[in-house]
Amino acid sequence: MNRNNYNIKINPPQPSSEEIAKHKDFDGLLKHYHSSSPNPSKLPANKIALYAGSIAAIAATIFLAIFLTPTLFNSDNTITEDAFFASHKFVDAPIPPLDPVSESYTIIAEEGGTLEINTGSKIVIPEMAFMNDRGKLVEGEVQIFYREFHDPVDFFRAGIPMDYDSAGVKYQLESAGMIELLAEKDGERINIAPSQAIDIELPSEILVPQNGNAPEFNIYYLDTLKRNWVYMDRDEMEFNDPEPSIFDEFLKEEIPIEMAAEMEALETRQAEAIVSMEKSIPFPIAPKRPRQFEEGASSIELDFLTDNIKESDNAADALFKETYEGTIWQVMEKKTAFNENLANFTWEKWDLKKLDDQNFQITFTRGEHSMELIVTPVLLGEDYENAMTKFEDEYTKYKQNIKDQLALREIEKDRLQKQLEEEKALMAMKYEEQINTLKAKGNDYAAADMMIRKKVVNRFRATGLGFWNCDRPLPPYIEQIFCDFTDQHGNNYDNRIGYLVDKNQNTVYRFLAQKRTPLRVNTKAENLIWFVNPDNKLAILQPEEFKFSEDEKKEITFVMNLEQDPIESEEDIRRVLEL
Amino acid sequence: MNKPKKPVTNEVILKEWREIQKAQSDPAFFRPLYDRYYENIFLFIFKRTADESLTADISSQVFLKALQRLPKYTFKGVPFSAFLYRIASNEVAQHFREVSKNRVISIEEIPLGHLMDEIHEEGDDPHRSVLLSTINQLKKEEVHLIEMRYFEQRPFKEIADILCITESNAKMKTYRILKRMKKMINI
Repeated sequence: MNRNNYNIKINPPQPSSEEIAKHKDFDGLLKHYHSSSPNPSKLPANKIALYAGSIAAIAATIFLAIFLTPTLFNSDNTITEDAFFASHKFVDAPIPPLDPVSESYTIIAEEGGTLEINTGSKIVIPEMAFMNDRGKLVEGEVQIFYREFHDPVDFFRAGIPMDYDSAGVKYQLESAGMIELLAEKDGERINIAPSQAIDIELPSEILVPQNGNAPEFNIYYLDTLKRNWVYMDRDEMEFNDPEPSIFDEFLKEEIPIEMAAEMEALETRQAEAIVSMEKSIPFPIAPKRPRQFEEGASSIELDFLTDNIKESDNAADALFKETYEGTIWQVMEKKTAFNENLANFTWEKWDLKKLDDQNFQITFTRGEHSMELIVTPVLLGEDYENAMTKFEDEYTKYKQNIKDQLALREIEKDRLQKQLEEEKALMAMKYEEQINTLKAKGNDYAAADMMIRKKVVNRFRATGLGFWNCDRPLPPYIEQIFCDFTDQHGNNYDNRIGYLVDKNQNTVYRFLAQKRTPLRVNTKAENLIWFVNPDNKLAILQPEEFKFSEDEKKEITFVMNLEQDPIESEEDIRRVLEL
Repeated sequence: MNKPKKPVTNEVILKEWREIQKAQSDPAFFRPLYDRYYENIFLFIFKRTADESLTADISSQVFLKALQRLPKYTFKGVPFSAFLYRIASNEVAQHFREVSKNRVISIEEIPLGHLMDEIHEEGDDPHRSVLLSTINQLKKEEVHLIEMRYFEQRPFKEIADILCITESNAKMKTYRILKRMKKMINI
């Protein structure tokens, strides 16, 4: 008999919410928490040393280093930028919920596999590519975690440092695409086995000068222990599309889009005008053809109808009298069972109802008895002939009328069409002028080294797991400005991390804002600066606000615009930063 | 099987993260989280102990530990409840190790029926006692997964968050456990 490892209970009674609530005691919990928090002064000396040593290695290093190396402090005793960032997480997402999420995939380690990512990237994993912490090759299912970063918003969201220290010189890395690749086996991190590598194909985009050569890019790996990027290899970058000119892009996209919208509006107005015109030129109503009495059919006369309508009655009645005086009403025997005997009956009441152009319904009642007839007015003999002559005359006039109205409508339609063509021609002229102006400006743009986006495919081999970057180092700018940061509410941004993007570079600069923050920037570029406040609201300085005179360079106060609403999604970031 | 509970939305997770950050700076702000999850944690533990006063003690311990570990809590994109359930599972396991007794598995008929449906082959209806006996032979981690999936109807995403594994791993593990149970029943 098998041993019982568990005490299985079927349908056990559960306490109610009220009964559970009786056990809740948050104040008691808080009291217990405060009384159980460790008090360092009561600890023996060896434990104090242990505490100091057990603090995160980086923070401890900085703590001790402050007393040994005064260069970690500025002359006014504020912490230096290097020391500040060294004391923070190396990869530090500023708004953690918006840190880009990895996609996960499962492969069998012994088989390897190729992962085709929906962005167009490809990851080729060889067989037996992974090992665990103890150096043993991993078999069975392995989970791969992968994410990509392509532009300043991606880099910012993930908090990836983009500065690179090479032989004591700090460069900024401009990216042509970045990835993070991780792997786990049963929830434990694993590594790429020695002498193994994972081939990566990463499509992305780079910014290149309009009329210049594309720069060369390298592959860097982020060493999180050394807290620096490490150069690994040259990037085997391939260009994916032919040379687009900024004008071609503008001409292809912007002008036709605007023009198409205006064109559509014109066409809509035209259609509405035609409908309105047709309503104002209505077609005449066709005359009614008189009906001849059918031989052998039953008929009745309804003289009391017209006798009962006085001249002073309403126009409809007058028309009815005029129209139907002397008319014979043929009984449409197919629609009602007509009993000729009832014709001699004296009725008390009658009711006449028009059913359609030809037929009427007349109802006679007397007490419980009633008779319903469907009748139609007919003519015979001379009356019919006279009516037919009149009808033919009217019908001829009617047909002519229709022709006249149609002709009038055609004239109006033509006029409206000509108007539309003229308006379209004017619009085309306007856009042609715009295009010519831009083309003329073409040389100016080239001279200003206008940047354009080009599609590329990066290819490299990842020999370790973590962040891999296709980059080129940008040397620091010689020009330096000194600035303070505040916002429209007078808030100060000292000791906050600031972010700067030059819209002509695919990177994010990170700096520590302090009193007279030194910034090495291309002052002529489109520079965008922002901070993230504790409520996840962005304080932004748009490029058009990045203005100052030569004299002000040593002491600029930038007034940021603090957004009203917190950032809650990637779309929010792109919208407010216009990136 | 009945549709499992819906996973929590990103907006809720984001809102909760702001609450956690507040509590990290001042433990008094932990109250909304305590109020929100107390009953769920209590029931989670009760199903594993079937003892109200023991459950109350362990629940207090869970929230105390959560508060003590809160400064190190980092945003992971999962509900805070996963963190609490993890502590609760460990506290329950610890308790039963200390008292050297068998842990309780509380099962209701309907979820048990669903589990039976997952396991039995067409035309072969395992007797309930056989199924219970099979559950008795499972390892602790396996019971934990089956409990959360079939008896507590948690979505795989939540189970993955609680066990700190990926969702696909949670699905694979569950599948393997069911396969093993099927095999055990058919022997």
